[in-house]
Amino acid sequence: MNFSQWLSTVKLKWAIFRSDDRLIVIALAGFVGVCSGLAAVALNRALHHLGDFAHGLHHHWWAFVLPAAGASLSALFLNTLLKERAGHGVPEVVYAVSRYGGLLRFRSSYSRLISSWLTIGSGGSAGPEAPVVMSGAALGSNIAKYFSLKERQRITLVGCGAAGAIAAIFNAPITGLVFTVEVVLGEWRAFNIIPIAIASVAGTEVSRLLQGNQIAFGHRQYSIGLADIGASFGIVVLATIVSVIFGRLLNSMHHIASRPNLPHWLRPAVGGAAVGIIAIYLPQVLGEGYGAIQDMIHGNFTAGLTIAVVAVMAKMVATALTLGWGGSGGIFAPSLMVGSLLGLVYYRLLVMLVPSGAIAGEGCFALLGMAGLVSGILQAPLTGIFLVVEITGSYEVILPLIIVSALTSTFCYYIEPGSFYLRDLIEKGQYMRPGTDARVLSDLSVRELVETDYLTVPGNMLLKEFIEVIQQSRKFLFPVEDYADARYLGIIFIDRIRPYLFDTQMHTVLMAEQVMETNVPQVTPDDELVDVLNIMENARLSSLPVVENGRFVGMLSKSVLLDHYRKELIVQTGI
Amino acid sequence: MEERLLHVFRNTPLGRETLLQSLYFCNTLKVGLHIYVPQTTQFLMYFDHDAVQVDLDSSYMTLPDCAQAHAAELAKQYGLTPTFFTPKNFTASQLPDIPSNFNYMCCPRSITDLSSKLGLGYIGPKVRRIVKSSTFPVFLTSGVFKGWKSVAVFYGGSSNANKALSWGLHLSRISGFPLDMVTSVREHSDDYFDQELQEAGLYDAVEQHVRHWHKIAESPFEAHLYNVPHDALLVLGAYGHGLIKDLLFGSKMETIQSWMPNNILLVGPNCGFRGA
Amino acid sequence: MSLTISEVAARLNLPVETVFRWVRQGKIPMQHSRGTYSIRPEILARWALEHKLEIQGQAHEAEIGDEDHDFDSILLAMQRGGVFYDIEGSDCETALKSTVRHIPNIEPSDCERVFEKLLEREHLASTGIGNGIALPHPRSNPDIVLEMPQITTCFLSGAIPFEAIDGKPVRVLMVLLSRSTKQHLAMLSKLSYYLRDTGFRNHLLTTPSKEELFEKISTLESKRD
Repeated sequence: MNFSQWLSTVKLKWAIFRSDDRLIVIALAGFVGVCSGLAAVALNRALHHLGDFAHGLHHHWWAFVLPAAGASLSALFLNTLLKERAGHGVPEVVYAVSRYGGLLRFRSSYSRLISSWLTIGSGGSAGPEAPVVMSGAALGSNIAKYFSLKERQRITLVGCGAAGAIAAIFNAPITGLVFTVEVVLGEWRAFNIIPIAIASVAGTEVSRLLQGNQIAFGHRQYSIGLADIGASFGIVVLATIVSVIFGRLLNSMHHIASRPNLPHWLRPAVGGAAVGIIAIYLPQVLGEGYGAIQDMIHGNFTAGLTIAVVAVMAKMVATALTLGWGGSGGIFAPSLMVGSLLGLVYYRLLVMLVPSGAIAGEGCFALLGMAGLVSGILQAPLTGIFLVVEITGSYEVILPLIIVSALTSTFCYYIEPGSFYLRDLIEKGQYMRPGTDARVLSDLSVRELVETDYLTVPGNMLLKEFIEVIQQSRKFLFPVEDYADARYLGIIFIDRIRPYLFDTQMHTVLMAEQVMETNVPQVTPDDELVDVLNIMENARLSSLPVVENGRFVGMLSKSVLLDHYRKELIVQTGI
Repeated sequence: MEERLLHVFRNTPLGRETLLQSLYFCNTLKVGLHIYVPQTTQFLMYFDHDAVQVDLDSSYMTLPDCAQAHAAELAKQYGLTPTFFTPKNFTASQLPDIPSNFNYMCCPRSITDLSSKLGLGYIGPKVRRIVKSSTFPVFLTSGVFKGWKSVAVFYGGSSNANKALSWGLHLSRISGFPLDMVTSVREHSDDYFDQELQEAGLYDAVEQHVRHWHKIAESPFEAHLYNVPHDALLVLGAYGHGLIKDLLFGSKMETIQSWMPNNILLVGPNCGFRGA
Repeated sequence: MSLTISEVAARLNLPVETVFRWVRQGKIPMQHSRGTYSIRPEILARWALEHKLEIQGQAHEAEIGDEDHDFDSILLAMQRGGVFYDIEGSDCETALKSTVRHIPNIEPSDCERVFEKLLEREHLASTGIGNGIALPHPRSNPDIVLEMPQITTCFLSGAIPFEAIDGKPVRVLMVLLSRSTKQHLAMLSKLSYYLRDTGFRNHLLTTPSKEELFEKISTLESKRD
């Protein structure tokens, strides 16, 4: 190869290099991870401070009002001050990713942080993970917007934000990565993995730098024997039951709360006050509960079995009260706590039946319970497994862990349609994973597919003239319009008018209006393709008229749809 | 397919004037009218690179039960049948998604603030964000309905101005109304503008089509805007060039919108060129 | 050298709106400059290869059935095909054989094939349309090199049995040759239309001279127009 040929190859390679979308995403991923990590650390610190402050006030008789006040303030802040109609964090991110390529409002990057700080810091029973994920995702989205990135790149950065946030909160990079892929993005793609991994690591590093290499829960060693593996099946059953109950409780509390007609800032106060009252007897239900979880894992939970059982239910009720009545926060941390309590209870029941040396300690079962709940209610088994492994550093637990996670999430899947986060979306039919039929169809639209090159005939055209029209045309159907106001009337199908075509006596007697079909279902240009396809199936038609405002626009045919569908699917799931 | 204009209806006398403007616009340009009668005070518009949350002024929710009937009645007087648009997707239960694949959108000068701010010189921040992100021109209406009888394009020679000019030519062609151009020639040489037109391929169209080209050489530029007919629809590009200027509207645009009470069609940076 | 969105859309056989949407969603990598999107052809080719999408060539591929020119006029076809007199033959086969030898514009090597095809068609059903006239044509495309469709008019020396529709013996053969079914059908339809005219048919049976025949045809054609 001579010099000029070599030069042109190099130029081509450079152009491809520059046009590759992945590079700028990789470059920004670290930055996004750092930002979301900072947000997570900030919330964590702020919660500690506010929590300590609130704790100092607990001996007063009016302390039960604190969660109420916090929840009210957070609702006021969110809805009145920022006018951000709250979705619930993670579902909103999933919705934005699946429908709009991850477009999130900028205000979401700080609004949830502040509102959940108010709710949780004052004692509300909720988790800080969902708000931090939302913040991180919004940060990623807006950084992508600042750099005018394309949709695919923006989605990746949203994932980076979420991963960095979770990684920072738990000091667990792999968990951040797995959570993002499993819950937020829903797909594992070569395009996404590197940037998300970078963001996870960045978030973790930020957290370690600012908070030290402490994790929420310390390292432990456990020795797992066959008996423990057998015992884990028991946890599966319990975790499944409790996950389902927890989910249903949250939903029904939401319904109960929407019935009384309270101003939107007063409603959370009711829930918060109830939580405060519960807390008088069981102070462990307040806040996110990391402290209690830590105790349980280290085997330091001193309260008795009955209290533990009551605590399980109380925590679930408290969380439902906080969140169902309008407080701001997530269910991740409460699930962890309920799970560990569950594991604890199970262990204590088990030791009554089995000599205590045979099975591993209380802490181990608390961990298994945690993983079980996460897998059950979030239906994210991998996240559960990796979370426990990373935060406790104990790899021996992996075998019972896998059993518990996988089985619990499978059983819960049979009972509930999907993860708690996504239930709303699934119910509304808005849950779309990339590369699925619904996703492909949501990108296409009737407007893009409609063929407009059809010749229309006026209703009063005689069959004789119509035959000449057929002669000149290549089509098999002809839309008919009213001769006066061009309103769409119906369609003439060539194959259905055969009897009249060859009867010359009818030629001067029949008009287009009389031989057309009028009951062909119509669609408008704004209809959803899923509905259009259903209509086509039910009516057994391969082509439907598209009518807007009474005027014929064009025909939508299955063959054109198939062609576009294939190309869209290829491009959507491609590299 | 038929083009569409999105109109968010306010069921008040002020909203009536705005709707009359939209009806006239649609009637003159053969554009379909799509009306959204708000059911909630907020909605989200998702554009390519931005999600704009519009918090409507509370007057938009006046008497929602008869709003649709009022709008339909007004439309009937023009012989138009509007399509009433109901949102299908919701980001949150009180936050519907309004699609952004329209061809035009009608906005008053401020969509989120009190009607008292509908004077000259003020364009609300949300309206600005919509103009910045939209792929369609935004029709900014003046306070009271007046049927426009000509089109006036403010031409500055930039690529945005070329885009605005292409839209002006299109409007003039479809409506049959005459087209004028207004330019401040103070800062550039005489052939600068002709050159720009040549490069954009608009020179011949301008030669054939433009009625008057008001070249204003004196300063202040705005004092001589009196020459622009009172019943003209103004068309202008909404952003100047350069990074800093891009962050705010181009300064000429600010001047014009604070001096001229006419209806304005703003062609934002993401709008495409209007072909013939 | 860069391609615009409309050109890309043409090559991918997609509407412009779809390509536009793909660019915004980042599914197809195009550069943005001064308000327009562009992509270099090599990059587009590479992208299409990665996604297993076909790029249509620049020349617009013709639809099936559209390959040839439309049929022009009977007069010209007859002029191209020629008029011949006193063709020998006692029956269908021999008459056709002598006719084929006279047909202009075909290679001598193709004669045999054309004859076979004409005969095949006769065996399927007679092409005698009655009143002493027959319209032999090949059963299917004989795959010969023929520029324009033509009609060869042959007046036989004697009337021969042809199993025509009306049973009468045939004296005039008009051989129709063309390159495609579409041209053939157009030609056949027009010729049949003229042959419905009794005056014209009788004129044919009088064995007119070439000039008279062509004059008659051109009158008929102008009357029709």
